[in-house]
Amino acid sequence: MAKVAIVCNGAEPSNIFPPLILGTSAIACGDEVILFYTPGGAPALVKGKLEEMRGKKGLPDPVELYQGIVKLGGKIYVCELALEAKGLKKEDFREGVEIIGATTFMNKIKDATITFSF
Amino acid sequence: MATKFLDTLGLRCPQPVLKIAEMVPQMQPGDILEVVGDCPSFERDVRSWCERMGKVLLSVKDEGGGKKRIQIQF
Repeated sequence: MAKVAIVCNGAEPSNIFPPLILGTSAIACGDEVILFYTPGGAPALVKGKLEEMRGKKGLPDPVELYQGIVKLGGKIYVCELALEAKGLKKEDFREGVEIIGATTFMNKIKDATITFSF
Repeated sequence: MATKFLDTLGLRCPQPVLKIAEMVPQMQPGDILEVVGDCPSFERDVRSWCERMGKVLLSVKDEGGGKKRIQIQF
């Protein structure tokens, strides 16, 4: 099985959907999945934001994808720089999010076999 | 051996495969999961999932209107 690391750099639909879609596909096939949200991507994981993305024509439900990744053991990390840079607190993020630093993330994905950035 | 059913009608890729993966803990070796779906990539995605997960795709029935019924043996 692969180890998949996906970085999300923005909070627009074009940034939000691909990590969730590819991450879901990978974890459903038994891959290890790690998603990392930079300060630019972190607002996507603020409570309620994914709910705003629901109902887009032809696209899956992002909330269900997120919950599926978490349920199947995927890791969702937000860069700790996002807290000060975006004026956010840990409790602002949805359930399942962990806050870590870039060095910790890089250590976790040092043996990743597939990587993406959106 | 038990047969279980999963309805993914209306769900878009990759939600049907996610629903199948979420069923895995309930399935015993030899059990059959019958899944219906109408996502355009439904059949191809389920075939890929079976290939990667080492499950047997028993049958694919085209029920018209884009709806397919697939049996997977665990």
